[in-house]
Amino acid sequence: MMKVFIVWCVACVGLHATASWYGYSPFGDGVQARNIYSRGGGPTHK
Amino acid sequence: MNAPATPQAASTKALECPSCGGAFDLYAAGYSTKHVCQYCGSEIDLSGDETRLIAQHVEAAKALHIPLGTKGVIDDTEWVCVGNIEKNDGWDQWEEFLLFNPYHGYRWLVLQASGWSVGTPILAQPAHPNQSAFRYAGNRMKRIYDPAESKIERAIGEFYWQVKKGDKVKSTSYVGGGRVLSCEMTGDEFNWTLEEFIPSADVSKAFGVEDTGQFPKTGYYPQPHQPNPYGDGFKTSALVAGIAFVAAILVSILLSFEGEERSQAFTANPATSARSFDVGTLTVTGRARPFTITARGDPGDNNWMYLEYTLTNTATDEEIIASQPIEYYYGRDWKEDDRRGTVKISAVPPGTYRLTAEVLLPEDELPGAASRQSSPSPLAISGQGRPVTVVVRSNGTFNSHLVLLLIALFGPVVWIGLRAANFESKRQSGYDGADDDD
Amino acid sequence: MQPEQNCPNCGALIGTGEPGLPVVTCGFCHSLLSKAGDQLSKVGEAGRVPFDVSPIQIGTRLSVGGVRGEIVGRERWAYDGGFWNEWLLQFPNGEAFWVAEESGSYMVMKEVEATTEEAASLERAYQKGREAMGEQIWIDGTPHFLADTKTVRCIAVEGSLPHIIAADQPRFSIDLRTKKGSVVTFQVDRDGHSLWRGSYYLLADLEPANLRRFDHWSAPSFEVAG
Repeated sequence: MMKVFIVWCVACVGLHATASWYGYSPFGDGVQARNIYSRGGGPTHK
Repeated sequence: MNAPATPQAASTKALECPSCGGAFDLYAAGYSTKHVCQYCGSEIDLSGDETRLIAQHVEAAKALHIPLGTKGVIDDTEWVCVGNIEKNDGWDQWEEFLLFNPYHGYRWLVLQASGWSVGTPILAQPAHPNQSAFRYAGNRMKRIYDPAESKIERAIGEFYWQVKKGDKVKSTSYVGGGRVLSCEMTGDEFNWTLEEFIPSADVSKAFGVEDTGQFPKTGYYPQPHQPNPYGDGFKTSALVAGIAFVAAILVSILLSFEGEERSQAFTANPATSARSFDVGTLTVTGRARPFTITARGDPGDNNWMYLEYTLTNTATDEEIIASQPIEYYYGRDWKEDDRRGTVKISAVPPGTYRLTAEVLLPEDELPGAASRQSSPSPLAISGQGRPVTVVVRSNGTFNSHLVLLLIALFGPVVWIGLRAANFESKRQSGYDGADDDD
Repeated sequence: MQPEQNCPNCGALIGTGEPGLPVVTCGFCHSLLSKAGDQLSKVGEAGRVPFDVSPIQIGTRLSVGGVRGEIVGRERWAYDGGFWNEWLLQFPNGEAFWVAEESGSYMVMKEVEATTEEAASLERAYQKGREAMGEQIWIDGTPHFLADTKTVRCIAVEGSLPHIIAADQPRFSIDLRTKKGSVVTFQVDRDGHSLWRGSYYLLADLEPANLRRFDHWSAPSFEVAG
């Protein structure tokens, strides 16, 4: 069972390394912006 | 030599029950003082020169899980099963098998609902049984069973004391270092036994008998000294996951050394109409790269500004659009400071790219903004400049990667940890009362 | 004394045992013989040692505190409902310990001097018998608690022995323990009283050699060669 987990960890790190190599993010264009086009100004905190 | 030589002595003596005539072998000759016939239950005294009937009984023979006379190897030592005692304390019922080896003495093999245990009588007194905790062999022993009386329901076979059905004995137990110490108190005499866990499969293999199973297959909670089946797995998997995560972070760090960086500062003034500026041009070669665009600016107190980025492939004129709000709000006892922000773009293919940024100010949305900008007053131009700096790099790490990786690597670890904790809480539920602290 | 002589009772040629010990038994007729001067004379019955599976025999060698000795004799004692062996372990310097063996445990007993006060308290305790159970008595500056009182009888002896014990001669013994578990035994018999300090050992700890062999039991791994 531990062998399976080790293989799983290696696969996860491998996947991460590959994605990082190509700069790929699974969440589309990876744009991290908040409320992109709905911003009208003003604090969100009341 | 003062006697006829006997190089190899007989190890058993064949005897007969004076009551029913049932044959039995005497195994621990010279040590055993009593034998209870397994065929009729009659009690036979072995302490004199001849076997003597103490009490005659007529009881049905009981089939023992480990028959008397069966030999088995435990821990590289061979033992013969010479006796069996059934005990009951009002809550649980269990059996104790007496094992013997002339060179090693005695052991007790205890059978409970949740599994097996091997007990070794210890000679020195490790503590007084009124103590709730003490140190033994480098471990802290904590009381788990308060002193309670158990009764002997039945005894069969040969014993080194005058055991009798109905005998009552008070005992208390402690656990520590993966072992249990039990103390039997009879009058002023304390007899301590050190018990170790033994897998039911080992007992089955040793004596050639059926495997009676152990927790969680049988019983309601694990024995106090039963190793947590998830304990090692949890430690190892946490270590493996930890190493994997560190390796992944190293990969990200190494990749971050590559790439180009361009930056540009700009000041947007609500009085003027200048809003766009070039940040820079980068070239991506070989493979796709992530782009990280960081901005920091001063929108003014309790104010905001908006950046719209356009990343244009100079060859194809394809555009990628992204945006970044820059805000700063505060009150008497709160603050929302977003004067810095980062946008990341995934997998920009090889090519040359120009990044331009356009600033949007709140004043631009008010009516009359265009006319104010076309004929600005000197005062308006000199004040209220909103500075902003944008840095673009052709490298970057996606936090979503790391979060996903964390879940993927440590998810199973957490699951094992929960199972391990569940095992421990079941184990604790088998103990008496609340924590005893000394 | 010649190393071998004829038993005065049955005539068998027997060894005369350890030079320093005054008593020896004949294994053929089970007589108790005294070695006065150069002559063996019968002074009683040694009794027959019953069939047992004790791993110790005359000739077994054991080490206590790093010093190696040899088992030269045995006394078997019985009380109401039980029995045990006491083996005489003799050392090259003439010193001797008794090794009390009961249901697989081994207690090495060394004789210690009792002060007159200690002897007096112990005598009082043994007079009280079972009523003195749990009582505290100071021995060697430490409180000891009465753990057991017994009347015991010697049922058989063999080998070389330091004294004559008549068959069925009763001995009264009281066992005292400290909180730490040291054991002290006070014995009173026809010849007087004696105090013994005992320490528990596992057979393996005594580095045994020349243990008895049995059918169907393999020798233990802790047995040593010498």
